[in-house]
Amino acid sequence: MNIVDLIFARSTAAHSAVVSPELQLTFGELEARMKDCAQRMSSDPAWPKKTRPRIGLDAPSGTDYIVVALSILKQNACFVPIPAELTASERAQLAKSTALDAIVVAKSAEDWRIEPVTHDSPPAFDESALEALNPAFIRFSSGTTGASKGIVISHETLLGRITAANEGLRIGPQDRVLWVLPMAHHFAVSIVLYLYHGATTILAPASDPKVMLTMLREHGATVMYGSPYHYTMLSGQPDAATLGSLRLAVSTAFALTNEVAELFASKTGLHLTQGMGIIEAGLPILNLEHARDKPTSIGKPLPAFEVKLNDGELMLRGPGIFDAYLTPWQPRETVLHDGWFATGDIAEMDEDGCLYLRGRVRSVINVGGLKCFPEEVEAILCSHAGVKAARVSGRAHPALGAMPSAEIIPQNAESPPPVIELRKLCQERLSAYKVPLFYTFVSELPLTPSGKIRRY
Amino acid sequence: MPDATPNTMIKLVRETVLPDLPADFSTEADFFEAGLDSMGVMQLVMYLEERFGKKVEPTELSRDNFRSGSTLATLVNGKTA
Repeated sequence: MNIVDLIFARSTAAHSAVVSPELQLTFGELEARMKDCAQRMSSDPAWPKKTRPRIGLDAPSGTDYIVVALSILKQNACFVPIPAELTASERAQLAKSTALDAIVVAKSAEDWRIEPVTHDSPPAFDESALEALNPAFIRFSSGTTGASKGIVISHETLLGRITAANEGLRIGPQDRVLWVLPMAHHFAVSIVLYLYHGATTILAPASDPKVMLTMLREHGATVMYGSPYHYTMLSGQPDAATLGSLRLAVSTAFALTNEVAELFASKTGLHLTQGMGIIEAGLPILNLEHARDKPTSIGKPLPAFEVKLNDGELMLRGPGIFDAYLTPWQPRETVLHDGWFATGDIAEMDEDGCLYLRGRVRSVINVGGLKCFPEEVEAILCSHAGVKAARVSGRAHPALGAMPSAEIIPQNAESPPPVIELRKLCQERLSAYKVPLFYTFVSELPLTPSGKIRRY
Repeated sequence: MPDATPNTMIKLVRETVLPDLPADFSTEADFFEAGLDSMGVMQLVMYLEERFGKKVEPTELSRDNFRSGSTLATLVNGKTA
C-alpha cells in the first residue's frame, strides 16, 4: 500500500489541491507534477539502487515541498525530513542515525539535486525489519537526533492516523485549510490528511499576518492550523474579524494560554480549538466541545482513542501509533504495554473528562513547538573553559511558549566568560531554537538530594 | 535602558538570531531576506521585551516592524504607525 496512490485514486482532478503565492495546483496538476518529478528522480544516476531507500529531504516549505515529498514517497522510499535549522553536525548525525542513502536538496520540483550519502559503518538498526514495515516516514521527536529516537511511521499507520484524526477535524473537499507551519516538522497528519480528504491547502507566509488574512479572504479558508504565536499576531491586525469566517481554528505546537485565547476570541468571535499533536500518535486529542469555556484544555480523546492517567502521566491507546523506534530498534509491540503508549506528558482531567497538559515527565523545553533537551545545551555550555556548571530552563511567555535560558556558575566569579562567547559556542553546535536567549551568572544551582541539577 | 538605534538593533539581531549577518549590513537591509524566520521573530520579541522593557503588542507583530534595523529601532522606541 502506498499513501500517494490512495490520495490520487480518491481525488477529483479538477479540484484545487494547493494554493500558494507562487503556484496553484489542482489535484490533477499536482499528480502530473509529482509523477514527472518522481520519474526524473528515479532515473537520475544518483538515485539509490535499492527497493526502499531512505531519502532525506532538504527543501523550503511551499507547494513544491509537497510535490517533492510525494515524489519520494511514491517511489516507496522512506522519507526523512531535514529541518532547515539543523547545524552541519546535527545534520550529519541525523544522516548517520537514519543511515540515509541520499539527500534530495530541492529548491523546487524542477530544480533539485540528489546528494548520495556514504557511511563508514552499517546501520545501527535491522534494515530488513525496517523495510518489512513499509515505512513512509522517519521523524525525530526532538527536532534533531540529539536525545531522541527516530520514529518510524508506515504507510498503513499514516492512513490509520489521518482517518482517526479526521473523525474530529471532519475535513472534506469543501474545506480550504490555511497553512503557516514549517513542513519539515508538520506534514503527515496535516498536509497528507488534507490531500487524502480532498481539501485545498492554502500556503501562507509564516511571518506576514497581512498576507495571511488576504489569502484567507481571497481563497475562502474554512480551517486554520497555527500556533498561539500566529493567532496573537493575527489578533493584532485591524481586519482580524475576517478570521471569524473560519469554521475551525486549531491551536497547536505549544500551550495556548487564556490570555491568547481571550484576545483571539474578542477580536474574531471565534474560539481557538487546542489539539494535542504528537509524532508518536498523530492527533489523538482535540478540544472540540469546550473551546469556548475551557480554551486551555486540549479536550477529550477523539472517538478512536482511549486515554488514562498513570501516576499523572498521560497514556494513550488507539490507531496510528508509530511502528517502531529506529535506534535502538524497538518495534511497537515492545514499546506499548497492552496497547498503551506512555506519552511522557503530565496531564490532569477535570469532571467533564477534559484534559490539561501540566508539563513533561522528562525535562524538556517546548520552544515554539520544537523540543529542546536542557542536558544537551548544558553539556555544550560546560565545554567552555570558563564554565563550572550550567542549568538551562524554559522562560515562559504568554504568547510565545518558552525560550531556553541559562544559569551559569563560572569557574572564576571575578571574571565570568563573556556572554557573546557562550552564545557563539551554542550557535556553532546547536539548532538556533536551542541556543539560550538569556544568560545569568550565579554562585550556586539548586541540587536534588542525589546531587543532580534540580529542574523544577 | 539601552539606546535603541538602528545599529544597536542590527548588533542585537546578529548576537541573538542571525550570527552570520555581514559586518556591513545596512540599517535598511531586510532581515527576512537574510534568513530571519518566525522562530527568530519569537526569540527577538522575548529578548526585546526583557532587555528594553518594551511590551510588544499583538498589533506590532507585523513583518514591517521586524524588517530592518531601522524599523526595529522605531518599534522599540515606541513610535510605530
